[in-house]
Amino acid sequence: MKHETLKNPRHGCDLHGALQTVEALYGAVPVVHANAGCVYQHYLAGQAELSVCGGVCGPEVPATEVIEKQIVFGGASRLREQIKNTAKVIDGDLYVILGSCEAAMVADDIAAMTREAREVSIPAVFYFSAGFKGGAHWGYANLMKEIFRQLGEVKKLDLERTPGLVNVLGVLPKTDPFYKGDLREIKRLLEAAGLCVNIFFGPEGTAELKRSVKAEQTLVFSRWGIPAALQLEEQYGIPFMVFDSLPLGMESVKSFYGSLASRVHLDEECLREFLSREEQQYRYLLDSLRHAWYAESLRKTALLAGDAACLLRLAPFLRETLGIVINTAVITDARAGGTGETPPPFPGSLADKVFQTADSAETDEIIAASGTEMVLGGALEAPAAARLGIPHMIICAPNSGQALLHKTYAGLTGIWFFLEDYAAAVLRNNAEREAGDIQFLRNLSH
Amino acid sequence: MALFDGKKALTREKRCGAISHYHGTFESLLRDGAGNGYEQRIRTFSQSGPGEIVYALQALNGIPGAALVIHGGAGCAAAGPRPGFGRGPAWYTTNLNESDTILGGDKKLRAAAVRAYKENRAEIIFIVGTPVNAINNDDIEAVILELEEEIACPVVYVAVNGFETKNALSGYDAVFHAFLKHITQPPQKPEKPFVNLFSVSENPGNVAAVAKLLAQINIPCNLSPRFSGVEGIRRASSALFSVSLNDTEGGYFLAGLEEQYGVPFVKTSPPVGTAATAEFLLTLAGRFGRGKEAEDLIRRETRAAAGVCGRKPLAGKTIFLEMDISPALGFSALAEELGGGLTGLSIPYFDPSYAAQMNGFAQLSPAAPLIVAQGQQFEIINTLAKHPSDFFVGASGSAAAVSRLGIYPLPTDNLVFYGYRGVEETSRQIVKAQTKIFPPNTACSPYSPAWLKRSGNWYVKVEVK
Repeated sequence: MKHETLKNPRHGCDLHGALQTVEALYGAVPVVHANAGCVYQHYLAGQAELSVCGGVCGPEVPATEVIEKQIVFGGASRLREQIKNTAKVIDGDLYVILGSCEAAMVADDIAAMTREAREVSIPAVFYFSAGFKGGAHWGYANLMKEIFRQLGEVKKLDLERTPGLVNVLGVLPKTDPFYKGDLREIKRLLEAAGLCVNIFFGPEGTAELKRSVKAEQTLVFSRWGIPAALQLEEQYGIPFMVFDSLPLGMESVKSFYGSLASRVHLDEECLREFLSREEQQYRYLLDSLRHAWYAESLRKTALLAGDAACLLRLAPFLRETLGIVINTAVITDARAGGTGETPPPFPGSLADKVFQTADSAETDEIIAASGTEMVLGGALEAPAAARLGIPHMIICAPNSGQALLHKTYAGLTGIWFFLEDYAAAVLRNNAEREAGDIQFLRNLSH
Repeated sequence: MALFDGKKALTREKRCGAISHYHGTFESLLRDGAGNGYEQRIRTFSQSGPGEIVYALQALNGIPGAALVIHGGAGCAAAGPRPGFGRGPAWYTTNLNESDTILGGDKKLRAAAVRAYKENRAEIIFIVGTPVNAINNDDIEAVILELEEEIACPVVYVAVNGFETKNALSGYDAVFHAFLKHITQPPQKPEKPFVNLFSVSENPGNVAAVAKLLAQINIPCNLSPRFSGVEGIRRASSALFSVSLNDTEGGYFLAGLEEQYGVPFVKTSPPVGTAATAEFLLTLAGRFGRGKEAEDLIRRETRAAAGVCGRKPLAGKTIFLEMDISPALGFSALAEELGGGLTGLSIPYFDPSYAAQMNGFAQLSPAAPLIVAQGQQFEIINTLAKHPSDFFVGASGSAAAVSRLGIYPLPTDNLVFYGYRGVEETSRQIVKAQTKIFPPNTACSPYSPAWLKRSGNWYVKVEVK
């Protein structure tokens, strides 16, 4: 990374990451201790990305909206009344108290206020988020860890193990704009192997949180899920497995099942039948694309820009199934962790050239110099692709121009969504280039 | 003291005695302010509002030629320009981390400002404050002085910190104060006389609806600050006169122009509804000697609008309106033209100077609910649970919340309701809104039944100093 400052930051801060995680957890009510504007910036970013959703979300998020006298004299009493009144105004199964930069700088005691709330039977947990502590990914990682750490203090938990029940962590709500479809797909794949799944960020929300402690295994699909998985292991003895990312593609899914089977009992017969049906469909649909693949020159050299887990998922699929050369990769969440966190090793094999940056100016320079034929990244990469006259496709945040309810680029269903969108992006660009060439030739002829 | 003699703008509370927290009735609002002005109130339960920093960023975001540096954590620039959202200047964040909050962020501020200049060839760089540097006491002015040799364009500090005021509109004033001090230049005789048409938060459709009418009668406009760029702000002092599409928002800048450069600030009602639009056009046209052209235009457009109004799409229907007070007055008149009436109002801001204008809400009964709040959907829902209306017209965040109640929501974010175009478009959207409420069958309101029975002002208290 060339710069410590950022142009057009693509993700929010630690508070925003924690907040969007709570918003996506149905039954949980966030209470944010911050000045006016902290939550609203997150809301505006969500509007631009069409991701404002959840039980209590957007401008309805309760917030203390602290003013100057609470900075000077402390805002703990304001937080105390806000928590108590939130529980009276908004029904929730779990109240999650979040901090902010100013709350941290004036040292308001969020933990103490949360404990006081519990004394009057408000099921409250806290995470002392603060924007300067790290990025949105860090917020998710620590928020989930804190929820698991404190859950038993506010909820009566049944600790009896349920064989075949697994937790899924490391798919970040809203930071991964495809999270709804991704979680739905991984749940489908796991259920096909006879497992029951807690995904947390679906219609069952906090009910799955309470069931999390009964799981026999936690499956972690990015490094951001590791802190929470460690907490579940330490506190409840639930072991965990870490995968680079969700699988994508037939071979990747089979390999995923193979790894899983080494630690979790799978219903092999159900799985065999499932994979047989899926493989039949897989061959049939890939064959449907054969002619268009060659007629429309769909194979492009690609530049990938996005979170490490997303790129680690897509890169093998692009290379091995589609034969696409990835000449450049830009990892955007390498430094999204907290101060002092050591970024993980560089996945150097991702592409011919691998960079790490979340800065949009740097990413634009990398794209301009890459010689690539197609950009797969976030909406911020679209202008750079347009300047080069090459196709662009959204694979990660920030999203733009589409509502994402069901779409996934993971698992087996993800193959079809991906290929449809990939082909659409290339075909659109083909048509634009051809129109440009025809216009040029017509002008020459006059 | 002149408005912009001070280093920064006064907050709305101090300058105007403004309030941003109140819940009562139409009558009680006017009664409570009679005499010594309004007591400041607070909410002991609140939901999220924009605050002065978001308003400052929104005022700066649409200005071509400018670059923004937000001196804070990455989250303070989270709402930055993305394709499809406010195409404006590039946003830079100093991306302050934990050690910066202890040791100071001057070095990063310098680096971000230099980047903003070199990467954009910016005509001006705005540095926007946040709570972190306010609590830290970073000396932003000192950094700006050091940058004078390295950066060949003005670097201007917009003095907001996120907690000094309860009133988000103070953020606009902070921006306009910076404009007046650092950008606006002494007047020069323009090639052609023009009017400053000042628009801060109106959607482009609303601005275009008005600008096109003025173009039809050959009235040149300086569409400041969002559309005419830094140059438009510079030459605002050379206008024949100024008008604002919403005096509550643009008034600070235009009053400053009048004070310093003698550019008359002509106060008009926002051109919403046929009567107010006609009055607006006649007022401007009169000053350009285009009265006859304006009358012809008004005659044509009023005839066309009469057909729409005659259909009375709001016949017998009631509206709860969430809108800033100036355009709300116009929308109230528009609603009446379309056959409907207001039953309640939520305004984000109020100060004693607007008391007389409240008579313009002729439809509102003295007992009609009146909320002064930025958002606070919990109070809107409480009010509508007790006094249901047929329609809710307001910001999309509130409209989405209200849709759970079975009340037709009409979000104003993209609604064109200004000018004659606004009559037709609003009418069309009203008819469409009554087809079905989306999403269906979602009785999933998070609000407790106990809250819905409580008095709506339960959490609004007089502030103890």
